[in-house]
Amino acid sequence: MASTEIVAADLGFRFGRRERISDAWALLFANKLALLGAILTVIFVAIGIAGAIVLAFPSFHHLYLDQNLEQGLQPPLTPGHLLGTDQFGRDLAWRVAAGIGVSLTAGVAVTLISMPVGMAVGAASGYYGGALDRIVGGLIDLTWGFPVILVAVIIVGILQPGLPAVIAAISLVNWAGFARIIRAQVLSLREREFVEAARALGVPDWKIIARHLIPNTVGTTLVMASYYIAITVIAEAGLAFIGLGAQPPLPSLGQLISVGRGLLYVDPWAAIVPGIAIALIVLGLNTLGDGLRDIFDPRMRTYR
Amino acid sequence: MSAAQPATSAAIGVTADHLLEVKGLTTTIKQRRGSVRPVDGVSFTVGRGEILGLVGESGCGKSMTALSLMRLLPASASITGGSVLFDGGDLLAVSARKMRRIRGKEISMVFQEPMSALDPAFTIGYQLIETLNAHESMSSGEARDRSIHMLDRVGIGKAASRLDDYPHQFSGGMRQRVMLAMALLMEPKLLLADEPTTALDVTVQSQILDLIAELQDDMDLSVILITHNLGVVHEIADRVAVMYAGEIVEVAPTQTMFDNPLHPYTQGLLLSMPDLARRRDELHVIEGRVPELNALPPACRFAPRCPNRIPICEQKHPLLEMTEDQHELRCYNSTPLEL
Amino acid sequence: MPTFILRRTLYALILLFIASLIIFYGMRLAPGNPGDVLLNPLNRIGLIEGLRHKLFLDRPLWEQYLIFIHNLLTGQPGVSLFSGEPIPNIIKQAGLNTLKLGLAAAILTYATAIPLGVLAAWKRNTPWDQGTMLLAVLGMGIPNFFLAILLIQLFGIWLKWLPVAGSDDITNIVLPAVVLSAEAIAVNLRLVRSSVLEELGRDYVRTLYAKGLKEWRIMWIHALRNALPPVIALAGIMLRTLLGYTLIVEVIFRWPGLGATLVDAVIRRDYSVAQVLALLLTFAVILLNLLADVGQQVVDPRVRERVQAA
Repeated sequence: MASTEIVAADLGFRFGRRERISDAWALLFANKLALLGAILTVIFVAIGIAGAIVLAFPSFHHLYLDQNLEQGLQPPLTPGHLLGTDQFGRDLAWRVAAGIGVSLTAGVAVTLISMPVGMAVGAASGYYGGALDRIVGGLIDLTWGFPVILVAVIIVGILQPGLPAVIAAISLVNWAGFARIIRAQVLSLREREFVEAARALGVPDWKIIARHLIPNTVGTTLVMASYYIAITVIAEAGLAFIGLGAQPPLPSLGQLISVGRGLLYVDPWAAIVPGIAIALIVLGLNTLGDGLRDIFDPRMRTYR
Repeated sequence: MSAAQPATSAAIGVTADHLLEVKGLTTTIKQRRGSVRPVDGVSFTVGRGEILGLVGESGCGKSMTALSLMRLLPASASITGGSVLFDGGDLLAVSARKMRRIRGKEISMVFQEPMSALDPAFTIGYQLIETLNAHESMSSGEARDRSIHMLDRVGIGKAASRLDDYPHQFSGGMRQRVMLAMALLMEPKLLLADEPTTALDVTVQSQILDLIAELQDDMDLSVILITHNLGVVHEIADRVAVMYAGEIVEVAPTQTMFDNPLHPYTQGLLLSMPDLARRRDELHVIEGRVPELNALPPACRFAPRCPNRIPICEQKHPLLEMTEDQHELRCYNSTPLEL
Repeated sequence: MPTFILRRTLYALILLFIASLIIFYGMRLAPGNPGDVLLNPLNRIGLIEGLRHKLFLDRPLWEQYLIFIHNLLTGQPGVSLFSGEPIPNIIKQAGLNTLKLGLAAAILTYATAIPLGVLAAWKRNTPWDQGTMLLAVLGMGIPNFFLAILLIQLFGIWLKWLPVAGSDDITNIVLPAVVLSAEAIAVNLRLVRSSVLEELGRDYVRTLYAKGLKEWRIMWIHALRNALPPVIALAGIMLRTLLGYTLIVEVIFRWPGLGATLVDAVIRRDYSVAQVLALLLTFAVILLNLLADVGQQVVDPRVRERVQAA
């Protein structure tokens, strides 16, 4: 009971949780950048979910698999096909939606794997310090800068090309990014009085980390998460582009671009439409991340 | 130290052979809510070979005045009124290009923080020679010689070898000497010294002031010495102008100012100086605080803090007027100071 | 400080060791036995066995690993399972190509980002500045392979100005270099601009104006010179990311560099080439990481903050 009060006092929950959340909402709306990013992200998440559903249920598969060779390579806005068709007459709109679903799945999967691992490792390392921190910290630093593509190519060389390999590869690098930021934050939070107080009250270490320190890092984590999902989307698409990602018949945006590349002379839209989709998703996520960063930690702002 | 004062009175508007005549200079800064005037209708003159002390607390506008004279204002500020006659020509009407050529050559400025006023990435030799090359073309040998000569003049030993040193290899006092050297390389007519000694140790302060006085004498230089420290002014200035809240409130020759200060603010400043307080039991304090520029008193700006306040002080803005010979005052109710 | 370097070097070596294990064992254990790939499975069993023996494939795995490492360190990495070409030749040729591309991209990056960045800072808040910054945002947002597609479409197909594949002609390097440097240009542009702006707010700049110097001199000689340290620090960090991008760019434009060769080897299950190249590139990345980390410790902490904010 006492420890909850300590948490509340330090997190600035003077007015209770409800007010703080509505504060955040108000700030979000005031910051047009974050708003734009949020809207874009929401739109694409919705499309992605639709795509994922289509992929998941075989009865829907026809939407992106139906071929109609007579209607091949139609440009966008032909009747019946909002974004046109590919060389087999398959509806591009549904293929792109399915592709976005794949990207979304990859993004969520990578985050679900790398975030908890990263946070746990980073928090433990930062909190305990000492030899553990020196070793783990060094490991984190060496890992986070690794080019994802290289790791992915190696992992794919080991496993079969496919979405699971891509997810594994990206997670292998991503966790270090989370760990690094969380560790830095924990290092600075660790010195604050409320931690001293909690320790004096005999609160066990893991509880301090889980209940007191980690909630304070939520803001930064959300910011990093949006950036990393954007990176994941690009990485997954890039890998699919060179043939090492999600394999057909699973449509990936990168794969669509790759196929479309061969058709550039005949129908540029087949490549451009999925490309624009990726660009917009990334733009949405990046601006959302920028906006969130402005809200949660003005110190993280770049110089303008 | 010769003060080449003209025989006629230095009243505003009467053209004598002044080097600098500032009339009604006004500088405006645009802020988010409205604008303020840190320099508001400032008028003064500087004779040839004269040292004018410009005194006031922080924020009274003295630095802004100097920057306005150099036309080195930040983006949000601009000169919105008045005239500045320098050596017969209107400085405010001159093109930007011409102004650049005047800076460093005819009018120079040294600043307060010698620690950060020099580019840390280049040797001082480079920075000195660069100044020369910007205004005059000469051989590199000549430029080097002149730089060494100047460093010598300002009291930096082993000048030739120090040319290749970087700013961080100099102490604060030495850096200020380098700044002076750089400012005086082209033998300007006017030097603006903005709190040149404030950031320095007390012993060094004296040295720098003596140096300025010496150089002024040698080169027949005019100097505007900006400071909040009356002691500094007393040491080397010929005349003193006191500023408050963007306005000049009193001007007089130095000795007159110290013997017979007329404006209550000046009197307060003098009384606050420990060594001139002459055995009082407590240090004198001027009550109240300097007003914000966007919340100025309606008439006399010093009225809220003034012990001599009378009703008219809060109704009508007092003008700067000449009293006795060469003593200007902006006040309705001045009383002599009992010391 | 020396202990720091020592420790980091130790971690780097450990990481390298782990990576080599992963690469080696991973490839060996993966489906698709090298022997099967090489020969038609319908051939005589004896032939397959003979080849397996020659390639040491019948020894225990850990022994194969040691043989592998030994061969590497003594400079005999073997031959390609696919073409039979000695691997050192492959590395030399491909390495040269990648180097050419990297150099072109580096030159392009700094020749563009620095002048534009200084100009953007000088003409702050003018359309020039805003336009340049918009370009930077775009450069950071567009995935490089999409940019590649767009450029191929525009310059290769519609305008027919530039070739889009291979490496025969000098103009072949243009598109790949542009795509490779796009993000680097954008990031450096922003960094140069903000760094120069920060310098312009410093006291010494006021002195420079008071000296009567021409403005271009203040910008390009004084401000820029003082604004460079963060840019140099960033270069170290970006180098690693760029290595990854090189892979994709080389594949897209069929530029025969180390990246394209590695990807091809992986797809074709050419283990001997894939292993060596993967290890080589991993080693390069770890080395760069190490140098960058050590370098960052040496550089002014104030600079580190600035770089991370960008």
